[in-house]
Amino acid sequence: MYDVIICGGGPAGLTAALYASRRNLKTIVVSEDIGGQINFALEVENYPGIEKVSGIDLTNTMKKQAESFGTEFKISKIIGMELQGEIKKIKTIDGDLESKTVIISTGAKHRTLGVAGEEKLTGKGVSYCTTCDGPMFRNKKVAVVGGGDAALAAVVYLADMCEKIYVIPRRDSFRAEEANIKLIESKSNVEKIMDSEPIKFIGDPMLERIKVKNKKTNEEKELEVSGCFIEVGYVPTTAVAQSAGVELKETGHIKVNSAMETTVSGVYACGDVTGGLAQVAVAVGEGAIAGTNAYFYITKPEYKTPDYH
Amino acid sequence: MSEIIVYSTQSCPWCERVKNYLKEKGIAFTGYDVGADQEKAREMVQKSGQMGVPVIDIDGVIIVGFDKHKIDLLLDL
Repeated sequence: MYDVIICGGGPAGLTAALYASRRNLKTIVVSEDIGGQINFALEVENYPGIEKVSGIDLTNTMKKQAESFGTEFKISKIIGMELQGEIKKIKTIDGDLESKTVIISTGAKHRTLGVAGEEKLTGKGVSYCTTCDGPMFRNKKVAVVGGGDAALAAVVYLADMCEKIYVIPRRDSFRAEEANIKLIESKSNVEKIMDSEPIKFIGDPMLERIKVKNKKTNEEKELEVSGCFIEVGYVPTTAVAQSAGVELKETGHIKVNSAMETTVSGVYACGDVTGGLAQVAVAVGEGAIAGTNAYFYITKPEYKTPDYH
Repeated sequence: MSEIIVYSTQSCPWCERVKNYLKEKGIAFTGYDVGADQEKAREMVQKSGQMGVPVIDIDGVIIVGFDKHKIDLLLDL
């Protein structure tokens, strides 16, 4: 029997684990991976206190920290949750665990476009992980779909490797940090195709072309590319929690108050799964609050949860 | 003894996970960086029918991505 089971081992979960363990709570993190989405970032430059670090190095340190105070880790897939009542149960493909409190930090998964040929050509030119698959397209022509920071980071990474990069945002401007926008504009092999989105992925057996449509002019054109990296945001991972009774907001994220409490007693949520600004700096803050409040819930039930805002 | 090959690229988190997992379990494998080695890249695409990494070859059985359960099954872990 644990004091707290933390579902999801990204920065939010790892911070919750650190705070809970330092309060001597018997803590375990259950996750399919350690590190979550930030592991796909080659360089993180906006995590306060660390000038430059890879996502993997950052989360490896977070893991070590939590472990040093007693956090246990179980790499497995969560298939069910029983959250009502005093004893909570988390079901995994490798067995079940019980605890007094649960912290849900299941994060989010990349969004797909839902366009013809996308699924068929995934892994055959269509990719959602630029840092993984980028090197396979050295000296080739590629496209990046998206207009946010992740899309621009992908463009910068590919610009030094690929012959040409088309960047295809949905809007007429990029929704990204100015520093990143300036960086891609300085690359001579990057062509911007604004206000557009892919409507078809073409090729057999591998990707050969993508058909894009300009949303303002309705003009369609085909781009010859062998790779297309899709960076169009994330969808929160909430299905299992929702079926266990945790309420969601209209946006599809888990509803929490400023104390990171969900609508179920003894259950907290933190990080990208709760919505808001999807940044490591936010995730760790929410994780610290969730981990600390789980401690108060268990040890001092008469203590009114501090309202931190 | 199984013959294991891992095709990966640099800075690929899933690839690191696979390799760390095999190392943890004390399993020996040969690793190729398909971003740098064009020939091995072609080999990987031929074997797996696709371009995503990581690709794991366990005695000729191909696994795409970090499929822990398939790996455990094939290696009796």
